[in-house]
Amino acid sequence: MRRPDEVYRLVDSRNGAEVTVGGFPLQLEGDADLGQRLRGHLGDPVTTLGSSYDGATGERGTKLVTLHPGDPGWLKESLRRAARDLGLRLTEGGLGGG
Amino acid sequence: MEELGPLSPYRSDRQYVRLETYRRLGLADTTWAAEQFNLRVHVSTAGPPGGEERAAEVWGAVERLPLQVKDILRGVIDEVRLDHDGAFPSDTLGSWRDGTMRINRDWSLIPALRSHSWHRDLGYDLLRAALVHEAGHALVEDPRGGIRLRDTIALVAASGWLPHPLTDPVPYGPVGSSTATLAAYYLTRLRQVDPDWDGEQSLGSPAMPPAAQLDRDLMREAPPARARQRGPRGSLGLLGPDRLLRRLRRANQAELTRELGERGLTLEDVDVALRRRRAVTLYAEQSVSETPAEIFRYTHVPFSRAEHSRPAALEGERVLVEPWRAAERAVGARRPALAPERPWEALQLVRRGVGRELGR
Repeated sequence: MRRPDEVYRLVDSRNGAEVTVGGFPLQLEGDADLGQRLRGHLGDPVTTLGSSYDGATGERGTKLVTLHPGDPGWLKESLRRAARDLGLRLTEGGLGGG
Repeated sequence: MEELGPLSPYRSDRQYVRLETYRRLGLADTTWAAEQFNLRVHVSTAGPPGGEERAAEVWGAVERLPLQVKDILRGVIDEVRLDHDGAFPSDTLGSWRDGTMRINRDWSLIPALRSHSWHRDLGYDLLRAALVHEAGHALVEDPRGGIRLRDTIALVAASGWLPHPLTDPVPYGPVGSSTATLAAYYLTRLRQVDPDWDGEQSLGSPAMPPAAQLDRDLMREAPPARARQRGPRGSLGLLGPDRLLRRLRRANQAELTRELGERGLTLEDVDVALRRRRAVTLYAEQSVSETPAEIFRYTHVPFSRAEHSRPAALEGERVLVEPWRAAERAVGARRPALAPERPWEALQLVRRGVGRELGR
């Protein structure tokens, strides 16, 4: 299987449960119960803020951007919201492992 | 422009009268905007009905902005326009350019909002986000003077923007260990790309290259509208931290390790550099020129601090907020707000005890 280019770790400090999430299609490893709860948060598009720019006038704008599953940034944004909603700690995997 | 403090651009020395006071006097919100913020106001009549109600919401949001953002509106924004949706690129909430802030008055037409069961609080949060972010652009890029380019580059460095290590290994060595040395290195390299970049001038200074050139000169993949004019120019080739990490993880690790070794680096060196600093939000990773404005928003939107990036937040406090606070401390108490220019009505309010609000 191809090495995922994004890997995140989510930890529930209340019971030590831990899940590693990476790639698309999603690969979840670790605590089954926490993984199940996370899956409920990973599937829908997420809407976030982004930029618009008019090269002709130099006008800068703030726009809404909808990220769909598989888009760059979608997984991190979804996990950030899941971590907030579920009270988890989110850390990002580095270059090694995964 | 009036009443600037000596230490910070756009620091006002006057207080603000509450919007509610004007409304109780029967005065238009636009009068409040004109008298308290020196703003011209335009509300488009094109598009769906409801422009006036929307304008009232916008002024309500302006009333609740942090004091520094109000000072920027008063000091550097000349006009606020509530334009119809068709006057914006799709999905745009609001925009800024050279003294003019435009707000899309027809959010009900924005597909991402139409499909959500979004409520009034979300609308307020989005409106505030757009206002603060665009005010951040004004603070950094306004032609009348903003923060120094040197400080803008420090915000970029603190947000994890890095070149690919095989292209430029220097930031992965001792130079990258502190934000100050990394920013100094980026500025030196930027001046090699174009000697007209001057760290002591602000980005909008007439003596500097156009602000849009910053993305072209710093980024590896500037957004198309900004990249078009690069031509044969050089670039520092910076990438946002998430994009760079994804790219490096996709690479063949054995080959990457070997090539890094030829440049005196290890995977661990690169990993440490990537983890040292991060962007505050996804928005801040879209382009170098969005980073300072997004850090400014981040410093003024407490709930967003869950998206943690301590180096960028600290640098934002130092560069974007602390000069304004220092001006506040140096100048001391603000002069009373300008009372609404209706002496008789104001007197009636004073008699009813409302006048105390005028000094707020």
